[in-house]
Amino acid sequence: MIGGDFTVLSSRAYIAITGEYDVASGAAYSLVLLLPGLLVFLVQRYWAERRSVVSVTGKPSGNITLLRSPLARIPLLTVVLAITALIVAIYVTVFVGAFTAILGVNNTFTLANYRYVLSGIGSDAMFTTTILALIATPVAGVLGMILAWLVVRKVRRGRGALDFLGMLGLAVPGTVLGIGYALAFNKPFIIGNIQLLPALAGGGAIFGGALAIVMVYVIRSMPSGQRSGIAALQQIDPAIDEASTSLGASGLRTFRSITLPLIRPALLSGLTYAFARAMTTLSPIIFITTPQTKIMTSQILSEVDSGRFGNAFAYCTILIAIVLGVIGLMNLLIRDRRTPARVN
Amino acid sequence: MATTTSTSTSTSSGTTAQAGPSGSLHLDNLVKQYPGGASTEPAVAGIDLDIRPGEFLTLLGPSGCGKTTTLRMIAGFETPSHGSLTLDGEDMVALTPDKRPMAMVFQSYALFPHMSVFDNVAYGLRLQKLPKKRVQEEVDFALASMSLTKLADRAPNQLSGGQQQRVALARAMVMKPKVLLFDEPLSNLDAKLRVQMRTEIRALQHKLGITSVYVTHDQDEAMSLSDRIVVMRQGRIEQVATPEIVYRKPASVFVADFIGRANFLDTSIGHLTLHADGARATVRALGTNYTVPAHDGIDASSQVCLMVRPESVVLAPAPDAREVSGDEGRVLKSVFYGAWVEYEIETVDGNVTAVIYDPAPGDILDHGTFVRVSFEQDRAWLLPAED
Ligand SMILES: Nc1ncnc2c1ncn2[C@@H]1O[C@H](COP(=O)(O)OP(=O)(O)O)[C@@H](O)[C@H]1O
Ligand SMILES: [Mg+2]
Repeated sequence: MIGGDFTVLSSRAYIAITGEYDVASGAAYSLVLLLPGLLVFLVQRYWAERRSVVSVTGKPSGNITLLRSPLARIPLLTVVLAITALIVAIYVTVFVGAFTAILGVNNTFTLANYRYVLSGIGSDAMFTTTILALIATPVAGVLGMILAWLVVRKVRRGRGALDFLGMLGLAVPGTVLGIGYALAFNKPFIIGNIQLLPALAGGGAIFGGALAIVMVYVIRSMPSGQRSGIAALQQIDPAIDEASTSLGASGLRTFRSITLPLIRPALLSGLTYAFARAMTTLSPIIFITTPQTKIMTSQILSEVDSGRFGNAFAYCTILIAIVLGVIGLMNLLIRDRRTPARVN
Repeated sequence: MATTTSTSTSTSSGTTAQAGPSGSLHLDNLVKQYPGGASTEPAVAGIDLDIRPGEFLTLLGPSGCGKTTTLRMIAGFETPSHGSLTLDGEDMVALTPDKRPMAMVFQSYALFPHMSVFDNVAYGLRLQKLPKKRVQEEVDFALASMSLTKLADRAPNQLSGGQQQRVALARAMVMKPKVLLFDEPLSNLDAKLRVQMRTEIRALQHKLGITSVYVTHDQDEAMSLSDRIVVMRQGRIEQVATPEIVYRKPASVFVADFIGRANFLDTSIGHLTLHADGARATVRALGTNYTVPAHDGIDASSQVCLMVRPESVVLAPAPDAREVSGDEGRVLKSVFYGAWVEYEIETVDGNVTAVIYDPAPGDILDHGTFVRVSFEQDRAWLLPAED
C-alpha cells in the first residue's frame, strides 16, 4: 500500500494473483520473499539464544546506567520524541480523517464515513472479523502455552526445532502464508477416493472460507503466546514443580495448581497480543478472504484502493476501538477469575 | 566429641522402636547414566545402602560426585539406569514421585510463590482430601513447631531466607512421610543461621523419628547431623560409618583428607599383629617407633601411609636442638586463633600441622623455635597409600 513507485516483492505477488490471476508466478514471488525472511529470523534467533544463556543463570542481565551528559541526552531525546510524535500524528490523522469529508481537500465535519461503514458491508466485516479473531485467540493462546511448556519443560532433544516450528507463523512473510493457504486448501483434500477434508479456503469452501481465515489467525498469533509463555516458564525454578510432585500432586494437578497460576500474567499478555495480531493481520488475509466472509483489514485496503480514505479512516478507528475494548474485557475477566482462586 | 556422637547413635535406635518398622530404605546396585552425558562414566556407578528406620543418613562428598543424582533417584525424579530401590520391601522404582511416601526439601526452598505460608504448608494435606479441620490443626501444629505461627499469612517473598527454609521444612514434615530427603537445604543461608538450623533439623528429626537422607558437601554439617555418613567419590561409596569412625578410622586417604584435616606421613610396616579390636602395626615415624591401629585391608607388604590428625600431635620443648633431625623439628608458622594455636612444623618426615587447644598464656611457640614432635599413637591410623 505504501510502495509508491517502487516495485516491492510482496506487492508484485499480490498483483500477480489478484490482478493477473497468475497464481504460479505469485507463488514464485513468494518463494523469493520467503528466503530473506527466514534468514533474518534465524539470525535473530541465534543471537537471542546466545544472550539467553546468560540470563538463565539468574544473574542480573545488565545494569541500567542513566545518561547524564546533555550531549548524549538531547539527540536521543529528540529522536525518541520525533518517533512518538510521528505515532501520535498517525493516530490523530486517522481519527480526524474519520470525521472529515476528504482530509486536506474538504475539511468539513461529517459522519458520512461512519454511516457508510456501519451500514451493510462494514458492519458485516466488523462482526465477522471480531468473531473469527475471538475464536482464534484462545486457540492460539493455549496452543502457544502448550508449545512453550513442551519447549521449556518436557522436550529435551529437539526443543530448538520445536520452538522454531511454532514461530514459523511469524517468520514466514504474510504474503507467502496467504498464498500458501489459498493454494493448499482451495480444493478438497482427497486421498484415493476418500475425501479427508472439504475445501477450506476460497468462495466455494465450507463456512465461506472462514475456517482458513481462523487457521491463519491462529498460526499468525500463536507465536506471541509461545514467546511470553517461554519467558514466563524459564523464570520458574523447576524445583517448584518438583516440590509439588513430591508433596503428592500428579503432573496435571501441578500444572493446574502451580504452573498455570504462575504463568497467568504471561497467558494474559499472550492472549492480548494474539487478539491484536489477529484483528490487524492483513497480508495473508487478502488472499483468502471471500465475498461471504469480509474481513476489516482487507475492506480497509479496498477502500484505500478506490481512494475513499475517509471510509478507511473510519474503519481504522472502529478496529482500534474493538481491539482496545476486547483487551480491556480480557483483562477484567482473567483478573476476576484469579481472585477467588486465591482465597480458598 | 566422642561422647556426643555415641549418644546420638544410641538414641536413634531408641526412636526406631517408637517409629515402628516403617521407613527402611534399601538401595541395591543403583546406577545412573545420563543419556548423552559428556563423560562415559556414569554419574552414579553402583550404590548399595541399607538405611535403617528412623536413621539420619548423610551423603557427603565433593561437588559432582553423584549425591544429588542418588537422592533424586530415591525421590523418583530420576529413573535409575540399573539396580533396585525398595522401601519397607516395596519396590519404589515403579512408582512416580507423587506416589512415593517421601517428601523433599530443596536447596532453593522451592516455595509456591503465589500461596501464603499457611497454604504452602497445607498444600500436600489438601491433596490428600483431609477434612478442613484436620488440615488446620496439622498445619497450625507444624507452623508452631517451626516458630512460624505469626507468619502464616505472609507471602514467601516477604520472608527471610531462614524463614523460607523453615516453611519448606514444615511443608515437608507436615506430610509425615516415611522418608525425608534433603538436598543441601542450608547452603543458601549464612554461617550462623546454618548452625542454628542444623540443630533444629536434628532435634525435629529425632522427635518425629522419620528416616532421613541428607545431601551435603559440608563436613561439619554431616558430622553434626548424622547417625551415619556415606562418603562418596566419583559415583561410588568410599565409606559408610558413624561420624566418629569416619573421622578416626577413615577407609581411605581420600576420606581422611575430606573429613577434617590430616597429616599423612610416608612410612613402612615393621610388624603387623591382629587383635580383637583390629590390626596394629609398628611403624617408624618422626625418628621414633610407634604401634598404631591399622586398616583391615593392610598386609605386611602393603604400601601404607600414616594419618595423624593435627590435634593428636604433641609438642615438647627441645632447648638443645640446633637442627631438624630425629624427633626434633622447627616451627615454621604459628597462628593464634584464641581457643587454639596452629603450627606448621618442619620435621624429618616433611611439614606437619599441629593444633594445640587452650594454650596457656606465654606458651605460644614462636617462629623458628625448635620442638620435640610426637603424637598420640592410639589416635593415629595406618591406611593403604593412595596410588
Ligand atoms: N541432568 C543431568 N544430565 C547430565 N548430566 C548430569 C545431570 N545432572 C548431573 N549430571 C552429572 O552427573 C554428575 C553427578 O552430579 P550430581 O549428582 O549433581 O553431583 P553432586 O550433587 O554430588 O554435586 C556430574 O558429573 C554432573 O555433571
Ligand atoms: Mg548436588
